[in-house]
Amino acid sequence: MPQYILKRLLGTLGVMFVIAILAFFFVHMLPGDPVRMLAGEDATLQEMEIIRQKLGLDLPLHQQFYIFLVNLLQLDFGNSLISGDPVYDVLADRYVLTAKLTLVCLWFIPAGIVLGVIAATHKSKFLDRACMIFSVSGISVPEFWLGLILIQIFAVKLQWFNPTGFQSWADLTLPAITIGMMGTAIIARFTRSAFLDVLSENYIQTARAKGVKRFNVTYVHALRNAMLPIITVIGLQIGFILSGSIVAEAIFGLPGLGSLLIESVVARDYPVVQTLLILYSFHFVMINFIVDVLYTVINPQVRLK
Amino acid sequence: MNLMKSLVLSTALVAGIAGQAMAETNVVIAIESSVRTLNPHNASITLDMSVAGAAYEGLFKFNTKMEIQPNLATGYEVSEDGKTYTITLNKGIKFHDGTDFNAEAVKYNFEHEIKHKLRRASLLTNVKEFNVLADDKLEVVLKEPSNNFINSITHPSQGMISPAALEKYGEDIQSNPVGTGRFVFDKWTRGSSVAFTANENYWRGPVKVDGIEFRTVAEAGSQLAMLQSGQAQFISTVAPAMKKVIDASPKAENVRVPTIIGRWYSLNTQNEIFSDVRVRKALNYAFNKEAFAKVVYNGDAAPMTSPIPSDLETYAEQESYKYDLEKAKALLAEAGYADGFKAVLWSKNSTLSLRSAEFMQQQLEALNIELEIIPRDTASHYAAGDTLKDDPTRPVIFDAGWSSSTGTADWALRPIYQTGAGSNYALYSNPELDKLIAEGQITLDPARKQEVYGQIQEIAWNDAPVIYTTVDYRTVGKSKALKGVDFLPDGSISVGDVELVK
Amino acid sequence: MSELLEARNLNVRFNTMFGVKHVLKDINIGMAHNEILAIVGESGSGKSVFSKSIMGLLGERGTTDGSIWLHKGKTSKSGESTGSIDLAGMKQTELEEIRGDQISMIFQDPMTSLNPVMTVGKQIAEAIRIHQNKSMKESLEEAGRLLDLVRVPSGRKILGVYPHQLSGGMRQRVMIAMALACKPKLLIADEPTTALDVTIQAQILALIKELQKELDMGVIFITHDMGVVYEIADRVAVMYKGEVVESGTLEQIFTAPQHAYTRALLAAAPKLGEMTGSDLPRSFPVLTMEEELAGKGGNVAQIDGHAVDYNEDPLLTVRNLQVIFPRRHNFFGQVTHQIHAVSDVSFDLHKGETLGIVGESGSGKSTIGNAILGLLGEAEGDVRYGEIDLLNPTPEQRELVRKDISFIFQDPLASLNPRMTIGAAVEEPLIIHCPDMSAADRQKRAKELLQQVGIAPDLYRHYPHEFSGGMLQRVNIARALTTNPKIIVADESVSALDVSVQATVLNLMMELQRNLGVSFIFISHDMAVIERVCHRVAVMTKGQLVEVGHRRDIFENTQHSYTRKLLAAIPQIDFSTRQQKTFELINDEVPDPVFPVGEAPTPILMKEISPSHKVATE
Repeated sequence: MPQYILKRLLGTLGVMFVIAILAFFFVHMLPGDPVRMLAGEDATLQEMEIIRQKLGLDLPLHQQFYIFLVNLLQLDFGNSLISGDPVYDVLADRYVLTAKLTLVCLWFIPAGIVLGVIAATHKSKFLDRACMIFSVSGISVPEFWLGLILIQIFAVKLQWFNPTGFQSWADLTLPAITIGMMGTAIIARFTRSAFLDVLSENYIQTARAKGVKRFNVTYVHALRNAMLPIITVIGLQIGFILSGSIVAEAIFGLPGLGSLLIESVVARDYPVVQTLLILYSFHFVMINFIVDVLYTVINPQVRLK
Repeated sequence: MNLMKSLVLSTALVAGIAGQAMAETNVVIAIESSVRTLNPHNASITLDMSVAGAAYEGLFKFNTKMEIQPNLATGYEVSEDGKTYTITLNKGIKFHDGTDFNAEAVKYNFEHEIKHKLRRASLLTNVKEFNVLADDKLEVVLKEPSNNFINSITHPSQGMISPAALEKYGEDIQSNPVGTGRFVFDKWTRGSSVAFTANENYWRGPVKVDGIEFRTVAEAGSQLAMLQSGQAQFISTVAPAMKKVIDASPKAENVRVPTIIGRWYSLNTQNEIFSDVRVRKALNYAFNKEAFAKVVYNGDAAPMTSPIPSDLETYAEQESYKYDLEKAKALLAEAGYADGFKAVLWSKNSTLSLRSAEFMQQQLEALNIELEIIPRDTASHYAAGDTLKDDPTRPVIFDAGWSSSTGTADWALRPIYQTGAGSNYALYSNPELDKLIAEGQITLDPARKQEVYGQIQEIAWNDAPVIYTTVDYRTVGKSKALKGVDFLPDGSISVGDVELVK
Repeated sequence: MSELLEARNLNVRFNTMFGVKHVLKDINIGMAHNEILAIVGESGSGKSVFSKSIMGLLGERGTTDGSIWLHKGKTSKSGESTGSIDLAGMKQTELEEIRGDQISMIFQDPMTSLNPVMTVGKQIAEAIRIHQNKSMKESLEEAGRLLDLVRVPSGRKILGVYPHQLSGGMRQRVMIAMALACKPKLLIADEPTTALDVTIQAQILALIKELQKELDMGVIFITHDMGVVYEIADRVAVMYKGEVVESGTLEQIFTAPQHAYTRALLAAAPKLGEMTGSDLPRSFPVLTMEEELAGKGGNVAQIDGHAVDYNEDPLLTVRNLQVIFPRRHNFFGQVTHQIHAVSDVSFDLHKGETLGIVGESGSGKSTIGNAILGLLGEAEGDVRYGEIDLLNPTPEQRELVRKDISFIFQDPLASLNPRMTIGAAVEEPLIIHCPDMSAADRQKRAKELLQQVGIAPDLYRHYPHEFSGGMLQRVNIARALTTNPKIIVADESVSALDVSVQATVLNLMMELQRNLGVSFIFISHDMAVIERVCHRVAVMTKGQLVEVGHRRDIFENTQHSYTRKLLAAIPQIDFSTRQQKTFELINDEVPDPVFPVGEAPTPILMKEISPSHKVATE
């Protein structure tokens, strides 16, 4: 097992290096000039030239790439073109906020699973229909609409929460509901179908024939087997949330990674965009890795191969 | 249900207490994008200068009509030849860090800006030297005579920074502003908010609120919620549908402000079709500006009546290109394009720009002109615009606009209409107009200046190198209790004698 | 006689999308505490529904009326006798107390009936813990004892392993151990050996029989296989379409069957040894079940199969066929272990002949079929069809081969595209091989073929799901015949069918062979079927051919020990020689022939017994 983990981690490192290189070229392939964006619409060409030299953007691409690569190997992601601060600093606060938000959003995992299990164990009955209607709404209601409605109800009318900003953890309540709704809905649907598949398996019948109580059949025998496909979906959902929700950040005035990406792409802030791309890929690669490890923990067939 | 309710309530209580605990005289201003720098000398966005403006003051300032008012300076004198300006300063003012504000500090500010090639040093390119005549007297010697030097230093970017702080922080001054203003910098949370506290030693007297905070909230609906819930007292974006809500509120109001942002579609005059002034005029006649303002801008715009917006100096109203399809058709037929032609419209890809472009497309359909819209994001749009001159024959209509940030007619006209100028996307060239622009810059006599710029406006208007559309109006929302925060025509938020009236 | 269990006027209905289905009709049946009651029937007979209704596992869509009395149940925990209880009228929570304690059940497929993420020990211990209030430790100890009871070697050692680490036979033993955990009064075994190889089946049957005596319990044994019934049952109930059509002692049912259905079932079941002395295959003396029940059966003639001319050159020659698949890889992706699925196999196939290839799972029999069909790039050796090298045909030859060598697979439904009418499915090969044929001609030919396999041509436009398994396999045969093939590879093509259907499909194949002279490679695990339909037989184990010869060579002059073992394991239906079979109880399955790269299975030497009969030296 440790050998397996080490092997996977080494592979991950290689993948990340390739991604970093791809990120550089993708970002530099974007049409548009960062200098123009930095200087403002009314800048003269001379002004722009000065900025260009300052930022080293006048160098040929291959030289820029060389510098990028040398820095990358020292884990230096460069400085933001806009603020001149190291990318680390630009990202740090945003990342902490997004991580906190992600943490709060994790409510969607148990909620989705419980809804899915309730739906599956009450298949075609009222509770199933209710859970699935909730789930369909969760998937189809646009995030910005849900966010604004929540603000109107809980912040403007009831005055329970601040409409925007992040001063205390309570301020993350509405954003977490807004962002988590989709994940809950998706996981509920997935759990339901995974559960229905498992409930029709022969070993469930075996368990019932042994006299195992219904509750234990559901939560001891079925859940662990059904978790296998669900874990993958949970991993993906966490990955998406960890990348920052552009919509929710705009609505709730939360400066997370999503709005940073938009700002940086609009301004063609190459180092920040590159680093964000690398970071996002890193999230997914790591989540994938964790999901694989969990798989081996849950499923002895994988573990013992 | 009960469990759920108590749960929500208890969380709400915590939040509520947190909200109550905030100082009641803290003013929150919601802005739509995040702040990039707090060093106004190096800012490219008006908003950044506005936020920094809570801590910084310039020598002069604009009022809501874009008229120059004294500020840190009490006044100025110009020499006969228009090359020497003598500025008198207020005495006894100190920066937040205790450094004295005097002529030496002003000189240091301007020279620092030029020496480090900061973004806004371009406003000072005409300066030859600064001479400190006395503690409160600074002499500025120009290379060429100019009538708009004071405008240049009234630009919101020209706030005075403590020289000691500049020494101390170097480039980091951008996140540690130290000025003379009403508010002292407190905390900048990147991407989210910039907070200031009241300056206890403000030279004009006590500040009437405890602090001010600029908070970035991109979504207009959320800004409205902040205003409604009392979390913010001023919001920078009011979507059309929100106006009624604010009007209906007893505590808030809409403020509709004319801006000096003009908009047009540049016609590539080097292209064969657009080189014919009859075609260009025809397009102007065929464009229904009133409908455009109503449909696309929901009324937050007014037709352009001159190449420059009416709030700028020397504005001279021109004979309107009143919507007249018949006349447009006649002009086009005269030019030999009765059956229309094909052209491309390069547009920005924001919702507003796209709606504008589609409106234009529909209007020109009446002339059998087939427009292909090519939308790009802002960065790509201007990059493409910069390449126009490399192949000037293309029938390109270019989505453009301008705001004369110095409030001068010169800066409103020169970058657009001078041959080879940076934002001359029409690739327009008229030697007569070039000559007048050069003259305008050095004319000191106000009557003559009015005459020169009047002529420039007339020529540009009649040559119609662009399809003139509208001047923006801006609606902002504010609490009725808030006084002293104004939205200026140049797009900046002016933080003055802020007060929350009970 | 009905002292343990008694079903009275039991009716079960299911609510389905298409209305209420009446699946059990007035079942009246009883059994004693120490007997094995076999319930025999084909698919759709309701035999599994009956077992589930005893267990209360019908689910929410099933409604039951009538009663199922469990008499003299075990003494309850509190010490008092529970007396007689009506299982049909009990709530689920009450049934949970009974299930696994007084009545327990084992299921058909040991591969899927154990929870894959729980250790074997825990799964057995769970049953003990639920009903006997013991600690986990005690329960695990008891589980170890139970594994000894079901003759799992060093049973305690496998308490901590997961089901997938065990072979199918071992898993079924674990299932049995689990079922016996609380010493139930009644054990229900629902087709417990159907998914197992014959040699394993024999062991499990013997085990159940022994345990029944040891523990003095009643066993309801549900099966479709008359041979298995004969091996194990004391009494038999025959079910057909939800009704018990006949019941009686084993002897009554087998020697004097009263109902036409029972008679047809017995006639359709191939019985090993029945063909002794016959050089040729022979058809079954049955018509379709519908015809039988309509009274048209009875004295149906048994027709001899096609006579083969062995003087002609063989149609297909296979020499030194070898198929090796990579099995394990190291870090760099290099193969370290290989599975020798087929090693050094040689045989001939003559015109109009049926060659049976028989073996247990993993013997490589299907791999041979796939190699001949050209589906395997890994195949090496010399496989010739006339002038054509089947392993390396030219593109033109490939066309011809696809026309001349056809196939029928095991699962009749999965072999047909569900969105294609059966007519279109039959026509499809014509579109590929005779592109010039007009649509009308194609349709005509397809209808002829359907007619030939006994399907009314007006069903041409119907879809696969509208047909039963037997009908579908006929469609598959028709499709295989479309291009007038010379050879048809039939891989387990009747093993998914009910016995009566299997017999008629086999009859059809033999009839087609007589009429068209087509040759079959008949791949099967079932020795009795092989004996019935094949001219010659090849016996495979671990990828190697151990014995090949004419039918009489193999069945009447058996030489190889493995062949003998296979034959011995087959349930016999023969009252004259009925005797208790004895098996070595511990005899695990044959492992897959996996070897490290560079090593190979020991080559076998073939010894010639007669010109037609070759045997591997042992």
